[in-house]
Amino acid sequence: MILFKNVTKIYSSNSTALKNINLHIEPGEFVSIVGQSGAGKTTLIKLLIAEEKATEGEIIIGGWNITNIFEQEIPTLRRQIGVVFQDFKLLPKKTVFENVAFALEVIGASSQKIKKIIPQVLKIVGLEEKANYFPEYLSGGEKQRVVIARSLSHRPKLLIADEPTGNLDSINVQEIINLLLKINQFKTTVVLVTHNREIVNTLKKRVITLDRGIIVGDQSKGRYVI
Amino acid sequence: MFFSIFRDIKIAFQNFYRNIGLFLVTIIIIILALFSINLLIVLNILTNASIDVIKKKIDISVYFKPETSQDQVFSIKSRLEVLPEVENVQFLQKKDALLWFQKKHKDDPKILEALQELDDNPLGDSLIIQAKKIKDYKTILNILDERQYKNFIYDKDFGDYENFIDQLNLSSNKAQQITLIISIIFIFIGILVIFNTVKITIHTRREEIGIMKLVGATNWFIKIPFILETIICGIFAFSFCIILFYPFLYIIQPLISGFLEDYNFNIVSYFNRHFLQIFGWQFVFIVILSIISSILAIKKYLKV
Repeated sequence: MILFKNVTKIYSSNSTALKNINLHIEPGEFVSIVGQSGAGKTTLIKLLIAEEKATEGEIIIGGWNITNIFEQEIPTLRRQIGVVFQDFKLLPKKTVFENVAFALEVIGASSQKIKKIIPQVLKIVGLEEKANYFPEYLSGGEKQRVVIARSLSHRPKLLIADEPTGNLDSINVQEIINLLLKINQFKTTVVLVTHNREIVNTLKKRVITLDRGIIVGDQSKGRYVI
Repeated sequence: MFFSIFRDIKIAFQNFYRNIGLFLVTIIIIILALFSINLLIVLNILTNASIDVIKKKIDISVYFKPETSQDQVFSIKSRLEVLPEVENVQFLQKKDALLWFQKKHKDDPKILEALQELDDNPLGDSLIIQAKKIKDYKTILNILDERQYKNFIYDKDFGDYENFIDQLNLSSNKAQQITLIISIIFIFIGILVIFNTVKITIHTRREEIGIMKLVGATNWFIKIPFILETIICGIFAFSFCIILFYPFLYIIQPLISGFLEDYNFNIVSYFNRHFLQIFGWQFVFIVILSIISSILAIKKYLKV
């Protein structure tokens, strides 16, 4: 469960990213957060992974109040969340296998466990043949699938996808969305941040619309309305 | 714990291999810094060796009066030999003493002329005394000045050296001070250069550090492989420096032999004998510097 209570984020006196946000996401939900550039979508994600701290209000994830989270607690929080970024954020000098393994290494998984889990995860994303490739030899779609594999490997309860299709062509976009839906079927909460109207409209899932830092719409089977 | 260290070392070696292009610059810089410091050590050794050569050429020549018997000379020799300050006492017969005296004063025509005017050898037997340390000559001279010996001794030719030794000691101390100051400056420059090179290397990989943080890695989980990589880099540079420095020593050895004639000084043997003292601290220094510089350089990028 994700809970935002009256959350405001102010970067500077003339830059308020989020204003009085109240939000409740149930476990296992698939939620799309939409809005134009500068609407506050990325700030919302940054607050969820404690990259930024709220200026006002409270944020609770899975019963853990992370509003004033200590620096040393942040890694523990992030290990319970899978994050998929638009710009992939893969470690360039590590192979596909090693990139996925890294997420397991940080939680202290044994080599045996890593060797067992990774082929399974790579099979889910269709990259079992490319385990020994370095990111520079992968297409954009493949890179994004590696990122999804990495964020899945430690079985997080929450998967955040920040514009995961922003750098992909239409075929790859559909593949990635299908993967996210598949992950959601295993009861993982998925928060998809996007401004891709077509995706949101075909998903027929809950849509939260942000505009200039304010929630202007929250529909259970919504559409992209802005 | 051991599993984690093993994995960290494995990752560090893997990263080192995969980022070799990046580390190459760091390795070259460290090699140059260490090479410069070792060059300074060679200079210091040579300065000390040169001063030793000069000091070894110093002795006290004691010329006895012709009427002094050999037994009396030998009894003085025996007394001197048991002194802890004395390195060696050599006995010269009357005839050899004259040759020795002439040789020592070959640049003094007045003394040579005076000797030629005399029909007989004015000198008796002689003793050539070498002290262990320069400062010990004063003690030996004080003993020779005792009243009991005054009647036997014709001349002692240490007086000429006294001024020279004082100057030599002064120059030797100054040379050591200058070398120390230059060494400190070089070490300081070396630290700065190595630190900045490590900083640039880590700066190039700042995005990687950010990604690791976003995936949930703790600061130490990220730091340890980076520290180990820098240590590996330092050890590589250190090893290469030794590999390059020894041929350099072999090249300069003939020049040193020519410079320090009769001294039988071998710079390669010197480095072999003092290998641990010279390179041991450099190894410790480079490891500590690698740890400190990588910890400081990475700190900035861990705030994600």
